[in-house]
Amino acid sequence: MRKLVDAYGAGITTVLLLLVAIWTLGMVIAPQATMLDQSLWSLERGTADLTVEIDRTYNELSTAKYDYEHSKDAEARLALDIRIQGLTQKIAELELKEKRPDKVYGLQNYTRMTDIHLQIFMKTIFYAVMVTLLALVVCYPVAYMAALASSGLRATLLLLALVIPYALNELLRIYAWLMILDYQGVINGVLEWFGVTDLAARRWIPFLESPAAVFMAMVYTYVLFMVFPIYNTLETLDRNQIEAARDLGASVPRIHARVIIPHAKPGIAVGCIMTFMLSAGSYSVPQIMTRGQGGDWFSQLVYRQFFEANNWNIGAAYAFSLLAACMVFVFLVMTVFGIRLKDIAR
Amino acid sequence: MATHGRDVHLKAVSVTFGTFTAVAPNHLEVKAGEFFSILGPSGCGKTTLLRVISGFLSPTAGRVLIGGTDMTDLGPNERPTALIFQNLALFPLMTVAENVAFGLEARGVGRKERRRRADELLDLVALSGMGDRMPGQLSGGQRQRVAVARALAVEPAVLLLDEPLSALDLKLRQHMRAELKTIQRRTGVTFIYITHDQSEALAMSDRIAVMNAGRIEQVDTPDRLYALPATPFVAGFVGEQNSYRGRVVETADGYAAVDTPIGRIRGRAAQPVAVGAAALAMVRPERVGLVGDRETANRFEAHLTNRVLEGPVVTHEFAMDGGTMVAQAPNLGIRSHWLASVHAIGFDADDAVVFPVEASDA
Ligand SMILES: Nc1ncnc2c1ncn2[C@@H]1O[C@H](COP(=O)(O)OP(=O)(O)OP(=O)(O)O)[C@@H](O)[C@H]1O
Ligand SMILES: [Mg+2]
Repeated sequence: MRKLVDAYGAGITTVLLLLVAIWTLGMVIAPQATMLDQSLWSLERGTADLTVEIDRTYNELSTAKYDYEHSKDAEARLALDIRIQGLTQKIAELELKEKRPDKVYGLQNYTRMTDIHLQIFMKTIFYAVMVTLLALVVCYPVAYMAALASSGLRATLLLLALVIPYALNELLRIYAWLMILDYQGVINGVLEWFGVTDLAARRWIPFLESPAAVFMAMVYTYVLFMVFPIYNTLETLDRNQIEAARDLGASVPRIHARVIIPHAKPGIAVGCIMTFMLSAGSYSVPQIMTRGQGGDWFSQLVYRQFFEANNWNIGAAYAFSLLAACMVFVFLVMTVFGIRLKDIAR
Repeated sequence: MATHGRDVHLKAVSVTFGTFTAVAPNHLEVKAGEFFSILGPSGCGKTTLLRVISGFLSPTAGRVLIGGTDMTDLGPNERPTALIFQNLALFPLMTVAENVAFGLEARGVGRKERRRRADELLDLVALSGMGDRMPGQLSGGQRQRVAVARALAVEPAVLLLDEPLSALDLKLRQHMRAELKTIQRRTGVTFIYITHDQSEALAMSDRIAVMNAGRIEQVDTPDRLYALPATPFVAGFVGEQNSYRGRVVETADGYAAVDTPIGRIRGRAAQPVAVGAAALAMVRPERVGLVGDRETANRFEAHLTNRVLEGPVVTHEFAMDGGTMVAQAPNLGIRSHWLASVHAIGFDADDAVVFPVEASDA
């Protein structure tokens, strides 16, 4: 605080703090709070009992009206009149209740997840973990080569090759994979040459129907978020440490295990967390790769709850479940890597 | 500690980066168990030469022999050498003991034995009980010692040190010099020590190689290097000097007389010189003294222009016809004879050195 004032002066500091406050309140706290609230209630619409009661009251009312019309006794007529008015009012109340259902707070949105949805949820988490691991396996060597093993020029080219696809629209990037893996796509086309497939006879390998397709596209879409944090930490590693380890007789795997990976840990953790969050919450990749037909990814389910079933409460509850899973993942990663938030911020 | 140093023999070793020659073809013989320094200005190729010896860099040409075996084609992990890096390159995420024992870990030594050896080595470098600290918690001098212990752990026959003391302050540097020297004597390991600090090299070494622009100009003991520099570069780099350009007028028995702007200077010829050739005559400030009426080979009348008291020594600056001369003398306090303003100063022929120089340099 003091430092901020010293560095920027009182005026700019105030503006900065205000902006941060507005941002936290408006973009983080308020929407999340609304969503949390949404997820915690549901509308309990008219039940069958209510309908039966209304029907019964209508019957009573028509009986009373009939009696009223056929009764000559003034005293009885008065009593019936009061009864009719009472029943009419009761019907109005019941009907109002049926039209405007009760708002009931509770955890029902969370506990009412159907088995299929739960399965999709678990599958999504599992796939996201796999995507993260796969991305890590692919990215660590790439980041290592870019940061430590090659000359400046080659490293620049390597990183450019990684970044350029990201200048493309995400849709186009995914679409490229679609073209490759499609029924009549590049791979099936190539296989036709070898006689493995026959596109005219609709004999092809349905790559798109396997989760691997979503996998591939997702790893490709999110690798950069794995490569760069790792690259950044590796770049700060003093190459002399690697040489020192080599000079002391350490094998290449040992140098990685004892010197390079420990140094890269914060980067690896950040990369894993980002890749996991992005892939667990990915909507576009599974949507495009499965052409919206597979209900394979949980985020698609959330989308449908919001915009197709129009059930914002369930949608919010699902979204929060995903968020909670991500939080657990982050916590796990940080525990496994033995790092604290401070190290990540480094 | 039963390690024994081995000798290192460089045969016509040279290194070029593209068209740039970092190390010119050099021969060098370092004896087993010697404290050998390579001294030279920044960028002269010292580190490059050391990397060739340690195996991180293949020489463009020439052979590297260690203990009589040709090791030119072996990697750093296959050579009996250990390198202490210019920035030490300790592993910051390992404890001091793990750092020291890393080489043993790589050789598959068990945990208990590793720890025992690490503690032993930490004792040797006077860091007993610091094994569980992290390198970041140590002072510069302590880190320095950890680096030495880590390198010694693999029992190298040759320890290569790349300006290991350059990051320390003067006091600590002097202390560490003595300590490195002691460790070297106790272990018997050949030390090849790189520095650009001439006083460091003079103080510690058995022998010194002076490097200039990739070329080794002279290899000799500190005493001889200081007294009998072979080239003007060595003379200029090691110690202070008064130097005067001129032309050789007379040569006899390894001595030469040079006519310079301040007069005739007689001195030893570092290399054979011919009468009439351009030459440089050089004399150390501490060899210049008051001569009074005494007969000397070199004698000049001079005015004292400045006197700088440096504690144990006093530097006197003189002006004379055609130039200036600096003389350094022990501080004799108020008994000093130097306080007058006009003096006869001079030096013996054995105290001056004459080098031939390219005429174009003159
Ligand atoms: N990989 C390289 N590629 C090109 N030139 C290099 C390379 N390594 C070193 N050089 C050059 O070789 C010369 C000698 O470098 P070196 O590191 O051996 O100097 P040094 O004597 O150790 O200097 P210092 O005392 O500053 O450490 C320098 O001019 C340097 O620029
Ligand atoms: Mg160097």
